[in-house]
Order: sequence, then C-alpha cells, then structure tokens
Amino acid sequence: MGSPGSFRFLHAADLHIDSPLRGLARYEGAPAERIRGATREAVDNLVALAKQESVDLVVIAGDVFDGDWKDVHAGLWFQKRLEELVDAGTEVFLLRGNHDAASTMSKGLALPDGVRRFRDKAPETHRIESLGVALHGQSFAQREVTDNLSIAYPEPIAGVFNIGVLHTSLAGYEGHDSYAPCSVADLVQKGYDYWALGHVHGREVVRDGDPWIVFPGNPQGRHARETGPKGATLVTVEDGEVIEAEHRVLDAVRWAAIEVDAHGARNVEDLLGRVRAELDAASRGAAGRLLAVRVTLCGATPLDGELRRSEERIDAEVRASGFAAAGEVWVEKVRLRTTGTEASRIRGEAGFAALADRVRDAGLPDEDRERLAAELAALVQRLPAEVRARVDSTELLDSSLGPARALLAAHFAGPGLSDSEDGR
Amino acid sequence: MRFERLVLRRYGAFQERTLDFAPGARLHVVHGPNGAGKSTTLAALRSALFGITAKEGAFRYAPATRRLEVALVRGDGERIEFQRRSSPTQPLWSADDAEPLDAAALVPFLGGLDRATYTRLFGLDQEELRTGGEDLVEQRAELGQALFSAALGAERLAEVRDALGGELAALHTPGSRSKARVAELTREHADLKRRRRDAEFSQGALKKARKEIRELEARADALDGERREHERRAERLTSLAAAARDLARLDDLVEKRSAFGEEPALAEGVASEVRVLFDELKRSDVEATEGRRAELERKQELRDARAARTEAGDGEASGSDPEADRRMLAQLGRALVQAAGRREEAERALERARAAHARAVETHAAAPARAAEEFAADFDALSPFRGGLESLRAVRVPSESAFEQLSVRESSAESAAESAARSLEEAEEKERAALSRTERARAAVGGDVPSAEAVSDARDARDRALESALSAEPSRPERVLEVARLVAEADGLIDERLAAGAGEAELRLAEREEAQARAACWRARAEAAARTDEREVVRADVRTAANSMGLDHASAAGLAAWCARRSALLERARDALARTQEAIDAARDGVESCDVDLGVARRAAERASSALAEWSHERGLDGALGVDALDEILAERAQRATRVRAASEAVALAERRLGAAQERLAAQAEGRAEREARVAALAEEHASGDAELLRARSERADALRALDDERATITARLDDVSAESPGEDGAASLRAELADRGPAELSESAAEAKNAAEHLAEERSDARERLGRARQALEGGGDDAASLEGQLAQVEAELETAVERFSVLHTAEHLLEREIRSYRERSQAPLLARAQELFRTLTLGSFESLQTDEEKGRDVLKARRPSGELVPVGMSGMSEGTAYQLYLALRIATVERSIRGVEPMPFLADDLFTTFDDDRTRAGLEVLAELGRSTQVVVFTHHRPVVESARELGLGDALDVIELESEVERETRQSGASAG
Repeated sequence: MGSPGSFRFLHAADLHIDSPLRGLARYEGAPAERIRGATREAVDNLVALAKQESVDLVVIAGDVFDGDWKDVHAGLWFQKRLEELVDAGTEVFLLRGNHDAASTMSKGLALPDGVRRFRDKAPETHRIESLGVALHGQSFAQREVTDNLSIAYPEPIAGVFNIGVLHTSLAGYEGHDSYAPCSVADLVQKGYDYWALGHVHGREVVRDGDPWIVFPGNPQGRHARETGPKGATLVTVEDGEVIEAEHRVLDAVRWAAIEVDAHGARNVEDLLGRVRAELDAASRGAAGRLLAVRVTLCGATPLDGELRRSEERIDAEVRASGFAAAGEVWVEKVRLRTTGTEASRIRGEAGFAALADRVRDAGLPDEDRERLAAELAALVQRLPAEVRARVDSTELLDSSLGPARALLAAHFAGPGLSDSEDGR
Repeated sequence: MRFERLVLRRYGAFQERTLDFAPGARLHVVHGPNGAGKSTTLAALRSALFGITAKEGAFRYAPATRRLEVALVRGDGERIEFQRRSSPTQPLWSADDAEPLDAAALVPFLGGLDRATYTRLFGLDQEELRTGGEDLVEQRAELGQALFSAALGAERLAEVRDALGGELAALHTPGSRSKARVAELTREHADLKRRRRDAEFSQGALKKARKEIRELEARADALDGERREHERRAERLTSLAAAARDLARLDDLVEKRSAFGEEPALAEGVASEVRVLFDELKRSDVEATEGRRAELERKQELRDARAARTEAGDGEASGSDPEADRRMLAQLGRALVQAAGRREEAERALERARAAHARAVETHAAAPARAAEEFAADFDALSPFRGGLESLRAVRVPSESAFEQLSVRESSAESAAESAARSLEEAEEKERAALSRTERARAAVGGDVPSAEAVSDARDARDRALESALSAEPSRPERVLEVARLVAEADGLIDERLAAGAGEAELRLAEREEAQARAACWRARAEAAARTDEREVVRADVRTAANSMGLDHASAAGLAAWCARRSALLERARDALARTQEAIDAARDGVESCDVDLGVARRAAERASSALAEWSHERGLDGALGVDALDEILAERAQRATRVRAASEAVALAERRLGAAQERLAAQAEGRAEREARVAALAEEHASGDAELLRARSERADALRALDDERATITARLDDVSAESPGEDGAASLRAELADRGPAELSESAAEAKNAAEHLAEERSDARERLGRARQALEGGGDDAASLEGQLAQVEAELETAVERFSVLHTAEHLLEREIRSYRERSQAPLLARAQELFRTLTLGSFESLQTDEEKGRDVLKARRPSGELVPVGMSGMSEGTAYQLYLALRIATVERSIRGVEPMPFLADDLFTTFDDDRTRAGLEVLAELGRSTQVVVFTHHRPVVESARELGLGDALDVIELESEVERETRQSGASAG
C-alpha cells in the first residue's frame, strides 16, 4: 500500500460498457461468440489488474457507459465490479463524460460506498491524506459541454500530488466530437502533477512530465479504426514524482489493419498465401485474443483485373484465410486497392482495343451523377435509420465511381468465364 | 504481325510438326481431320505469342521439355525467331534454343495485347458466331448493342451484363417481400431491434422489479408462517383422534380384567408347557389316524402286486434266455439266406460262363470270313491276285535264293543294256562331229591357190626392183614406193601359198579321224544289240516266274515285294484265328470253374439249413416253421419273461413300503404315551389330577397376560400425546381436552387443516417462482440486450457493405450503357458502311444494304432486300442463319477498323462454317480473304469441303492450304521412314 507521496494508480477512460463492436459483418465460420461481451471482459481485466498490482487508486476519466444505452444491466454489472474494487481496498474516482451525461440509465445507479464521483455543477477536489494526493475534477452536466472546464479547476494544493481529471478533446481530435476544449498550455499552466484525461480513444502521452498529460485510450477498441493493443495507464508515483506511466493491455478483442502488397504475386493463390502469412503474423501478435482485422490488398499487379472481376470470391477466400491463422480471426472487411500494371492495359487507336482504356478514364456528367445519386437515395431510404444515418448517397456515389470503372475495365480486358484453352 | 512459321518441337501430342505460312497469302486454311491436332495447333499459335500455360500439354511432355519454335514478321519488315519454353521465369530462347532471350524483344510484335484479349478480339469460333447471331435476334437489333457486341465480343458483353445484373439483383430488388440481400438484412434488423427493445431493462423497470421482489419476498414469508401453523394443528388433531380411540379401548380392557375374578393364575412357565403339551396331543391324534389309513393302503398295494405276479405266470421259468435265442435264430437265419444267395449267384455265374463259351465258339467259326473283310485293303495291295485266304496260301512261291539270283541277273542285265545304249549314243555323237569337221576342212581347201611359179615371179620382180633401187640415186621417192609395192605383192603371194598348204593337211587329218569314228560307232552298235538281247532273256525268266505264281509282274523286285506282302497277310490271318481259338479255351475254363463254385455253394446251403433244423429241435421248436415264425414264438416268450420280472419287483416294493408305514405308526404311539404321562404329572401337581382343569387354568393365565400387555402399550402411547403429565394424569388431561369429540370428528378436522397447509405451500412456491424470475431479470438473464445490440451492429455492417457494393455495380452498369452509346456514336457510320458490303457478299446478294430505323424510340438495325423490302433484325424478321452472317459482317468490319493505324495481329477463325452450305461457306471465306488484305487470316477447319470452297475462290497464290497429318498418318509415315 502507498504512503504519502508514494503510491500507484490506474488511469482508465472510455469503457463504453456493452456498446457493440461495429463493422463486423457475419460470415460462415466467423467467431461470433467471442465478440460478445468484449467491453465487459476488458473491464474485468481492468479490475483484475488493479487487484493484482494492488493499486491505491483507480481513476476513470469519463464515458463508462454509452450515451444511448438504456439497458440497466450494464449499470448493475458495473456496480458489482466497483464493489470488488472497494472490497480490495482501492479508492475509485469516477467522472461523467459526454456519454455518461447523456445516459439516462447511469443516472439512477447508486454508487457503492468508497466510490466517489466528481460533481457536475462546479469543479470538486477529493483528498486522500494517507497517500498525500488531491484529485480535482468536474463531471459533464449534459452531453454538449463546449466550455473550457479546465479554467475553473482549483489551484493545486501545495505539498501533495495533484491529479486533474478531465474529459476533453483538447484542441480537437479527428473522429472525436469537440467537448470541453482546452489547450495543452491551459493544462500546463494549472501547475498539477498529472492530468488524467479521457474522451480520445487512441492512447497518447501528450506530455511526459511537468505535468504529465495522458489519454489512456479506451480499454477495448470498438471498430476498425481503433487498432492495436488497448488498455489503461498504470502510474507509479514516488516522493511526489511520476516515475513510470506504463500502458497495460486490457482488450479482449484486438483490432488490426493489414495491407498486403500484391506486387509480384504470380497468381491469386500466391497472393492469398501472402494474406494467410500476414493474418497469421497479426494473429500471433494478438496473443490469444480474437483478432478483428481489415485486410487491404494493394499494389500494382497484373492480377488487378482478376481480383476485381471476382471480388466476391476474393472476399470469401480472404475471410477463409483467417481460419488458418494461429488464433481466431474475424476479417472485418476486405478492401481492394490494387492497380493494374502498364502491361495489362490495352493500347490502340481505334475500335474495341481502346474500350477498356476509355472506360477506365470515363467521367460522369452532372446529370448522370444526379440521376444515379437519386436512385441510390431511393435505396438508402429503405434502410434502417441507424444505417441511413451513416450513409450519404452522394458521397457513396463519388466513392463508387473509381471501383466501378476499374471493375468494368477489368471485365472488358480480362478473360471471360468461358475463355479456356487447354492446349489440347 | 504475321506468322511465318510455327514448329511444334514438343507440344501437346506432337513432335517436330512444322507449319509454314506462305508469305503474301490472303487466306491460310489449316485443314486437319479429327485427331490431327487442329485445336492443339490453334492453341500453339497463341501460346507461341503469350506463353505456354500450365494447363496445356500435360499431355505427353514434361513441362520443362515443351518447346515451340516460331518466326514472326511485322508490317515494317522486322523479324523475330525464337523458341518458347513453358518456364515461367525464362520462357524465350534463341532460335537454336541455346541463348536466353529477353521477353521485351517480343513485345513490339504483340500489339500491346495479352493472351485473353488477343483470343477474344482476333479470334472467332462457331460458338461465338452463334451467340452473336442469337444476341442480335434477341436484342431486336438495338443498334448500339449490336455494334458493341461485335466490338467487345458478343459472349463477353453478355457475360459482363450478366455478372453485373446478377449481382445487382441479388443485392437489391424492390418489393417488400424481396429475397434480395438488402431487403432480407433490413427485415432481420427490424426483428433484432424489436427483440432488443423487449430485452432492454430501463431505470423504471429496475425500480419496479425491485419493488416486486420485496413484495414477493414478504408474501412468501407470510405464506410460510401460515402453512406451518396449519401443519402443526393437523398433526395435533391426528394424534388426538388416535388418543380418543386408545382411551375407549383402555376402558374396555379394565372391564374385561375385572371379569376374571380373583382365582390365582398358573405360573407362566407351567401355563406355556401345558399349552404346548395339549397342542401336541391334539396333533398326535391326527397323526395316528393318518398313519393307520396309510397302513391299510400299503396292505392293499401288496395284495394287488401279488395278484399281478400270479397273473404274469411266475411258475413258468424257461431254461434258456429267449432274447439270446432270438439273436441265435437271427444269426442262423442270416447264414441260411447268405448261403442261398451264394448258391443262386453261382448258378447265375455258370449260366454266364456257358453263354460266353457259346459266343467264343461262334466267333471262332466266323473268323475266316471276318479276316477276309478285315484284310480287304491288304488283299487289294496284292492285286492282281484275286481270291481268299485259302487260295492265297495255295500260291506256290519260289524260294528266297531263287528270287535273289533272278534279281541280281535282272539288275546287271538292265544296267549293261543301258550302259551300252549310252556308249552307242556317244559314238554316234563323235561320228557326227568328225563328219562336220571333214566338211569344214574340205570347204577351206577349195579356191585358187597361187602357183609356185607365180610366187617365184613375184620374188624376182621384187628383188630386181630392190636391186635397181639400191643402185640408183637415193632421192627418187617414186622408186622407193614401187619397191615397197613389189615387196608387199611378193609377201602376199607367199602367205597365200603357205595357207593353202596348211588347209590340205587339216583335211587329211579330219578324214582320218572320221574313218576312225565310223568304226567306233559300228562297234558300239553291235555291243548295244548284244546287251539288249541279254536283257530280254532275263526279263523272260522273270515273266515265267510271275506266271507260275498267277501274276504278271515284270520285275523281280516287284515279285519279291508281293511275296513279302503275302507272307505278312497270311501271318496276320493266322494270328487272328489263333486269338479266337484262345478265347474258346478261356471260356471253357470259365465254365468248369463256375461248375465247381456252384457245387461248393450248394453244399454250404444244405449245411446252413440243417444247422437251423438241429438248433430248433434242441429248443423244442419245429424247425420246419421257418425263421420268421420261430422268431415270433421266441418274441412272445421274451415278453412274458419281462412281465413276470416286473411283477416280482412290484411285490418287493409294496412289502418294503408296508413295513415303513407300520414302523412310523409304532413311533407315534410311543410319543403320545410320553406326553400323556407328563400331562398327568402336571395335573397332579396343579389341578388335583384333573387334566381338563389344568388346561382351563392354563388358558385363563394366557388371556390375562394379553390384557395386561395391551393396556401397557396404550398407556405409553397416551403418555406420548399428553407430554406434560405422563401416566394416569396424562390420560385424565387428554380426556379433559377431548371433551366429547369423537375420533371421526377429530380426523375430519385434521384432514381439513392438512388441506389448508398444502394449499398454502402451493401459493408459496408460486410466489417463490415469480421471485426467482424477477431476480433473474434484474441480473440480466434471458435475451441479453447487449448481445442483441452486437448482432444489430453486425447486420448494419453487412447492410453498409451491401449498399456500397450495390453502388459500385450500379455505377458500373450505368458506365457500360454510356459506353455502348458513345461507341455507337463514334463508330456507327463507317462500321455500317463496311459491314453492309460484307453482308451483301455473305448473303449472296439476298440483301443489298443495312440501314438504321427508329422504332418505338430506339434505333434499330434493318436490312434491305434488292426488292426494297426492309427486314428488321429480330425474331419475326430474319432467319437465324442470316443473323449469324450479319454478326460475322459486323465483327469483321470492326476488326478491320480496329487495326487501322496499329500493328495488325493475325486473325484466327476456328471452324466457323459448320452450319453454312457450300455457297455461303464460299462467301464466308471470301469475306475472310477480304480481311486478309488488312491482316493475316488463318482459318482452321476439320472439313475437307471448306478447303474445296477456298480453292474455288480462285485466289491463286493468295490461298495457302496447310494440311495437318492425322496421328495415324503421322505414325504410319514415321514407322515407314524408320523402316526405310
């Protein structure tokens, strides 16, 4: 156990308990069972780590729950985990982030004794004399907090280790809504020892001292852009100084993106061999976790046409390649980003020899574009609201043009289904 | 680019097959019958350009050894020659296969095409022609389609459309019950969402659930208390009901006890002994009665057994064992039968022997006649002799030495005569030779011979001339010439004269020799005549000998051979007769031996018969009755003996059983006496000697004890019920508690209380169940909202992917339609103009032009007949065959147009005309030859008439026919070559 000025704490954020892993289309043989409860498993790992390392504090800097999640089981389940921590003698500090503030479910949950939550009307300071630490923080009162909350945080308390707990996007991060904006300078100026931030899902040590400013990242990646080992930061303080801020991995499902260069592949089987090797390596890197992976095929290759003509088959083949990997693999998506080689392009001045080239460069006049967009919109209109919200017909159309040209050119140029010569 | 030469060094099934393409030909027709490797050759042309694919030629040669050699020439005259291997890393080698070649060297010859594109754009086969034609018909000749189809290849266009359209339809088709992927996923999404909503557990629901749990817990506890109360009550009432019955019985027992009065009871030990004794006495009475009845039964049994033995005839005991007698009789009987059988057998054998003897005698008698028949061939060999054996035997034959002598004479006479004849011939020959020589010599001598004077004159003239010449001046050539002439003349005369002298000498020699030859000839003739006479004498002797034997043989050797054949025949005839005689003798021996056997058998039969008679007599039986009757008698005796034995045994058994019954009876009587004595002793001691009184007192003691025991049991039970005051007080308090309630009333109340308790238990378990469910719901059992949310996320991902794919395909489809339109705009006018010319040729003038026409808002293609009639390209308008031709015209026009300004590639047509008649085939070839002006055209065909049609085009040197040998031809040729 710690003593004044020397102790250890675990800094986590953005647990998003029970929010689903997004973007995983089902397919025959996909390890669906393993996906379930990944966010809870990561929290279990967090509790186990806190107990195993006998940390003195656990600080969770916001977004324990997903905003629109109404099922109260998540709350009841989390209560039990908190009780476990308290029973183990750990002090727990929570702060409401934008998601928690929006969550109707979390409001009704009573916190076990020994768990403290920062209030939302104004900043609040909790002190633990036995450890010589003071924690300053303010919860979000509602989802949209656009004020710089840090400004109102109290002055540091002299002679103790000051931790600022804040849910913020700092000056702004791609893919993250801008909440409680503030600058690094604002935080530095405060004179605290450690800023325990939340909200940004990628782990980042914004400053590694004087003060430390850390986003621990979320403990479980939830979609294809949240790749790599996810977890929390284990901080060791000795004599009022941070001597180590170590990232500890907690995720149950690992997200990864691999690119397979088709350049030089002799044929599709050869390329799939490369895919298998890459998937196997990535799976080994996941150390027994389920690996959710996006596979991008890239590079200039004469196989481009064949790949595009048989995209569905290639998709299935790549997914099947995952079955051969060391651990369990869920192929999230197969992206075809290959290009043809010069040798595979057709030249010629007149007549049909130029068809593939022409279509490769074909433009789309505005009126055609509008008509196609309208036709797409009619389909999108039939989709469930959740999907509709994520699909923009015009954007979709614009992003389809390139692949459509490549597909058509591949069809014009390549061997047909009935082209076969056995040489007999 | 044109092919100049292709050599299949080792490829497919072929080795060293060379195809030379005539330079400047507008049409190459490669003809090969089935099995000649037409398809292999076609593939080899493409493989030569673009590589030998792994699929090819797994036929005969290992991949590493496959080789194609090819020579190509470009429009600008550039040439390349190389060998193609199937190696993926280094496929190109120099023409001598020695140096690796850079693949880049070939690139300028390939027009920037890959194999698939080349195959599709510069190739045409029957299948594509058919698809193209049908497409034209089905599309009802929408112009853009038609042109584009000809450009891209009809099959390819259809494939692209099918691929795009099929996948699009699978992704999305409008309609609420659509089976397409988007619709199915949308439905699944809605379903999952509904389930998720149902599973969701909100804050309000949590409060409600907690309240419900509290209420249910309280209710369950209350029900538990109430139930337990009822159960206790039911238990008490049940006990009281039993107690009420016990109290009544207790009163009854007290009353009965007081009825017994005050007389003292027997001691326990005595009372029980008395009870036992009286019981045993009673039982021994019964046993004694049964024992006596058994004795009577046994006695009766014994009587019956004795009567039965008497009936069986116990007095009659035979001296011998009837069964043994029967066995002996059977043995004697068998001996008798066997002896009789053997006798009969012997009789039959004798009969057979006699018959055999008779047959042998008969055969012997017929032997000579059969011999004549058997030896007919031998008799024939003795021709001209005619007659039987007897007459043959009668022929008188000279002795062997006489024959030998005659034979020696004959042969020496014959050879002497022949030798003399030959000598005569030689002499005559010599005589003829001498004669002719004389004639020749005589002829040589004839003529003028210079006389001696003439010779002398000539010599003189010569000598004179020589002399004058030697003395005269040397330089007079005419003189020298004169001398020479004279010398020659003189020499000639001298030679002639010498020759004439030699001829005379020759003639004289010849005449002398002729005379000698004549003399020799005369001598030889005389000698020959003498020898001939001698031979005739010998021949006459031979004839005499033959005649003496009744023959007319002319040679001694022939007579000797005849005699030898005669002797052999006579010998064989003798042998045959001897064999039949031997058979008679053997048969006679057989008869005698059978006679003896029969005698033996008869005697044996008699012995057997008398043995039986003797034995029967000994047994007091009449042997004449026969074996069967005797056996019957003996069998009856045996049965009787068996019956007697059984009856005796039954008597013995009955006696033993009677003895046993009597023994048991005696033992029972003894036991009874002992017990009676004991009863008397006890009566003396306890009942003044009165046994009946003793028994009464014993019974009374037993009854009192039973009453006391029951009362103790009941009292103990009542003490248990009224736990607080045991003993008499307990009973009293119970009596107070019961008041006047009877056991029936109490039991009824108990059952009611029990029912109430059971009912409460049910209610409680119901409440517990609800509580369990409520608690489970609180903990998150059942359909788990989080997992359903996960599934929703998956369905959403699938929907997004599907919509993305749909967008790509939809856009691609749109781009395709645009490209078709744009292509049409670019190419329509020049293409149609050219296609129309070709179409006119192909249809043999049935159509003269092509034109577009608007129909229902679409531009469609129509063909105009010379009459001016417009025929739409469609199901109602144009025949299928014409549609094929239209497609061919469009296709060739497109190819022509596409190679304008770029390096033209060879066009390979594979058996296009299988459905064309001869006239149209010719027209088709003509059109291809037209294309041949722009690029090399190679037509492959299995069909000889196609070659003929090509020849009829009158292309002259512009037609190049390449014949492929069939496998059979090739092998035949190769084996012929190796044999030569």
